[in-house]
Amino acid sequence: MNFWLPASTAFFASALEAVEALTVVLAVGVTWGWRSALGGAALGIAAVALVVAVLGPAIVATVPLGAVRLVVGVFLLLFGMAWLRKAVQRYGGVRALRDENANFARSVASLGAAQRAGQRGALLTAFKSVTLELLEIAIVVVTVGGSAAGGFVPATLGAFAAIALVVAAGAALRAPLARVPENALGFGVGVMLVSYGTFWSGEGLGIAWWRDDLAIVYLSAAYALAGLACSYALRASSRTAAAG
Amino acid sequence: MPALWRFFAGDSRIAPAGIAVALLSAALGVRLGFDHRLVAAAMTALLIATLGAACRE
Repeated sequence: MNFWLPASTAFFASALEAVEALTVVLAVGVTWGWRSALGGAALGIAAVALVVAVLGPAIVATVPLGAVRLVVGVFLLLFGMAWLRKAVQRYGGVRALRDENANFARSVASLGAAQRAGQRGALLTAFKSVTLELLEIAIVVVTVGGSAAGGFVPATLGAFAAIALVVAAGAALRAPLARVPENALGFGVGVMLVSYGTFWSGEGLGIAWWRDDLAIVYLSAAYALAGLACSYALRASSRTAAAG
Repeated sequence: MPALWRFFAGDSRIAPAGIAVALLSAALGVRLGFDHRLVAAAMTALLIATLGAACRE
């Protein structure tokens, strides 16, 4: 009982946080390449390992988690909104015409700069998400471990088991995700990033979400419905414009 | 820096402004002591409206 209770508590809490990080890393990997996604994730792991090594149990009192959530949330909102908008405009028949011109202009003028910025941005996105979630896992381990009779070992083992399980699931999901059509993937990635961005920035501002982490589910559903409605409206208005 | 900003925010002018309005409104709502469910719903509605406006941009 001294082992299993803190271990299972840390396992389930950590699995939830690890799945959130995995979603963003998978989104970045599938859309911007695995080098940036895994590089950002590795940097995030190293940063959190350093913070935990330096601060230890004082991490609970020291890290301003609200501020970290707000910054990460704002970046994900900006990034996700741009993705979702692009996918909606493609579904609505608006983006394809513009893209040919944009692609041509990009290839002539600033392909190198845009690609470099893209790689940096993708790496930063993966880094921020992994850092935030691992910090939360570290806080779970410290909180659960500090209050359990068995000390930090059961909680730490529970957290590591959860991370290992989620990483294995991510490796298995990599190949099937690569076969999804590009715009559907962009739409899904946009919905997920905006949902996480809304959730984390809200938490950073002090909002207590209804049903806690389950808010991600209803936020995703709301954004997906709104995105589909926007694409239908765009398609309808472009049809009307073409007929008139 | 502009290329990095464009990577994050895309080419929309409405989206960053709408996100800022939604977050500032939510911060104000929390500070004024409104019900959190109401603040969360208002913030999400503003963000969805931002998405709609940005898609038409």
